[in-house]
Amino acid sequence: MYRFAVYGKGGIGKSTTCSALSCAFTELGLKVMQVGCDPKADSTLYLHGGQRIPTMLDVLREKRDAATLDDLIVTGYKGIVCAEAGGPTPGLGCAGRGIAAAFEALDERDVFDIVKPDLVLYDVLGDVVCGGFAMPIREGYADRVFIVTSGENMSIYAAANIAMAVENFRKRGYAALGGLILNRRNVPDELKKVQTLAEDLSTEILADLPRDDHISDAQDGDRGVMEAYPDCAYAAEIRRLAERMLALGEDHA
Amino acid sequence: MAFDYQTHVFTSTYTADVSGVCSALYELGGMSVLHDPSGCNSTYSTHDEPRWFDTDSLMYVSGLDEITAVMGDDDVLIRDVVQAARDLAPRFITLCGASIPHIIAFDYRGVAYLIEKECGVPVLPVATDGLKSYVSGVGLALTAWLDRFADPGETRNARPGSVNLVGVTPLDFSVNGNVGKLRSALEDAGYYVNCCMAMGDTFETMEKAYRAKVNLVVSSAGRRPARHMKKKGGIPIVEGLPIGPEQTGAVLRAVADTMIDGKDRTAWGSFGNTGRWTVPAGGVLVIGEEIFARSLANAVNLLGGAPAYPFWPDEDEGVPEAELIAAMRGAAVVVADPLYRVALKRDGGTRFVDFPHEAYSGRIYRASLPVFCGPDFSVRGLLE
Repeated sequence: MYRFAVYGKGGIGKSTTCSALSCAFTELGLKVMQVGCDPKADSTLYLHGGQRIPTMLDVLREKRDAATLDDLIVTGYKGIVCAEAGGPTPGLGCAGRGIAAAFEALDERDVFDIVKPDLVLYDVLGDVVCGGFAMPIREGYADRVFIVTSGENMSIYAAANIAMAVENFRKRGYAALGGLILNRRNVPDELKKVQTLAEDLSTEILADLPRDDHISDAQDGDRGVMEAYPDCAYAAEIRRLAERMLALGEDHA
Repeated sequence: MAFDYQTHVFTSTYTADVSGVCSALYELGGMSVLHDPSGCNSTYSTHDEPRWFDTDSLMYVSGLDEITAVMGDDDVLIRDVVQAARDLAPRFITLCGASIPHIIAFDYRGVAYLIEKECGVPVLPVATDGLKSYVSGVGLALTAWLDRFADPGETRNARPGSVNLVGVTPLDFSVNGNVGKLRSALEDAGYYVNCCMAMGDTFETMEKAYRAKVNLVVSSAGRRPARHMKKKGGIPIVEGLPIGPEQTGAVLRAVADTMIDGKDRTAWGSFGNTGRWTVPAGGVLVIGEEIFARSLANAVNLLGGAPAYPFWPDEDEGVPEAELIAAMRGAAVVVADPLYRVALKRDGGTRFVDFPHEAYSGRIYRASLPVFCGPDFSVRGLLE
């Protein structure tokens, strides 16, 4: 089983990238599970027709220990197994602890032994602000971390901060940085800025995703771009990225 | 139906998972580190651990403070534990914690890895949260220990008639002779007690825990390690506690049957398997840890007379008080820790029989804890 986590600044396009990647991995014959780790719970939205699925934390709040694995996961487009951690009421509770609780709930229900995915993809909220949001790169959940960034300064700062957290956790025997994913916002000198970041982090840019109106057009129709426009330039670059990620990853038995 | 009954108005709480971890590993030569500001440590040592004053064991608290927690300064803990390990040379280190590390999603596994890398002593990360009962803590600790140190390949060296006693701590059995009676109940019937997890045994005997044909789970705290050993070594499980001659006979029969067919079984009948919290009126209500309560209820039922029903706490939530009151006030006799007595009306018709339980009332009734294991205990006498 390949185990990847995708981080990046809020709003940079992680969920769009992850959902497209899940489709690309599926096209390669892999059984994919995508786990959204964001209180907004919209990671997998366009893998099931734009419909929200119950979040794990909402289910656990209602059913507690009586919640089954089937209550926590939903099978979406192309058989991709979807789970959304969810989070507390905005402004209340502890979102980081919520992520950890959702992961523990999946563990207690032996999710990987039962679902048997070939690849699991964690889509994680913007920044590694506390221990909970580091869960996907801890304790063997993901072993390669990919960071989505544009050439915007705030995105680059966030990426550098995430890379620092990954390096810190690598000392504990956890995940390593897999590389950067450039998601274009068409700002001046965009490629050059992200190349500089990659050099600073001793990593590389794995993909150069074009800004593509097909994405928003597809979402307006409650579909993902890979489903609505499988032949667009963005989709082609996503497929190349998927293959590069597999080449970098490790298939754990 | 999902219960949400966390408010305890008149009931006490069972001791927390962190006490369970410390209790389970107390005698194995390790150093237990509680990551916590310090309250849990003193609760454990002064209320939950009868061995504290006459048996040495390395129990430490990290003294976690607010700014260290908020800033995620794990280095403070790592440095302190490494220093203590160099000074005291424990066989192993156990890292557990209470609710503050849990809430900040403290990285038990990663910190354990770093401590071990630095000082060379094996470190067991046991991710307790201070919110569950000791049943969870004992189970997690024994399972982590077995996973690290016991070789499942030892099953091939198990002698015929060998039995492990799983889930034995003072929290359920105190230090008043119960464990000796438990062992002799099996040995007198011709069985060989390979390992008693974990009282009266050593690191070395525990390493050979897989040399057993049957795991006898004598408290619900033993379920998790027993299931782990079944998964890793295929050892079948019998659940039951020998209390009095009749129930001792039931346990021994279950062990004998499992020795032959390798099937898991329990040493109590189906009688009394009502709804978890719904108990018919007019009977004998036994309140306590699950395997104790089921076994004692079965022992009463084997005598004939008024039917007995077990009532046991949830590992996470304790007991729902409304259901508890209904069950207690409807019963003819209640057998429970004396702290449960407050649920009965003074002029009610229910008779209350004291049966102190260390995990519930701590040291308060320690002097009057009964020796209830084995065939010498009179269940009939208890109810008279």
